[in-house]
Amino acid sequence: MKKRREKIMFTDVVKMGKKGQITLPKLVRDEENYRDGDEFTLSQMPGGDLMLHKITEKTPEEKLLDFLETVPKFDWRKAFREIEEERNRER
Amino acid sequence: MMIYGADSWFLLCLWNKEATAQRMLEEVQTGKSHLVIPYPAVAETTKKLMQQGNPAERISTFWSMLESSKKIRFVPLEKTIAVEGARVSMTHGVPLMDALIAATAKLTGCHALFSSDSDMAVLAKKKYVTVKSW
Repeated sequence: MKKRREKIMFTDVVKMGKKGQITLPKLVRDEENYRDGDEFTLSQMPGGDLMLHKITEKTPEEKLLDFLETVPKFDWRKAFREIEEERNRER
Repeated sequence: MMIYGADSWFLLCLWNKEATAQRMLEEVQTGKSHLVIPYPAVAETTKKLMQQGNPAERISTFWSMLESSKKIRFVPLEKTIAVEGARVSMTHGVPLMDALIAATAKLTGCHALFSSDSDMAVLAKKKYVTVKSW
């Protein structure tokens, strides 16, 4: 939900462990808010580069905000004034 | 954790992605707040969205998405609320719709009601509900 701030490219050298494990640098984990148990997709690019992508399930509230990006806006203050007038007629 | 009631005013703010309404939704997402949506506000907002030319399917998606949040509760207009609404309307001389929405907020333990309605301000003055607007 938070707006991502502009990030600079980050490069570091990491070493593979015995079972093929690689540790993501702390700087990256903190920056991206990666936690124990987070899941990632690992894709091998045609040139052999590896790309890591965190799997995120959006919350219902985030999905709602995405949906609201697509709906047409209107003068909601005027719309509510009309509602208020209607309420007053039924007083 | 704060519990807020939503008048139609807030729901229209939210539909239009007004900045404060959006921030409130973010608070809901983080669990800092919960939201109570009274059925009468759903009816009023739906009518207004229809008048604005929105297809039924789009409006229905809006409600379904709100319903899918565990931190947002839709409150039906049941007997206790209906009777309390009538009493508030009579006692304080406010329209029944305002009274029903305010009664829902009151009886569900809302800390405040999001509304800019002048009659809600009357109820706030009489200390029936706390009203927040921006």
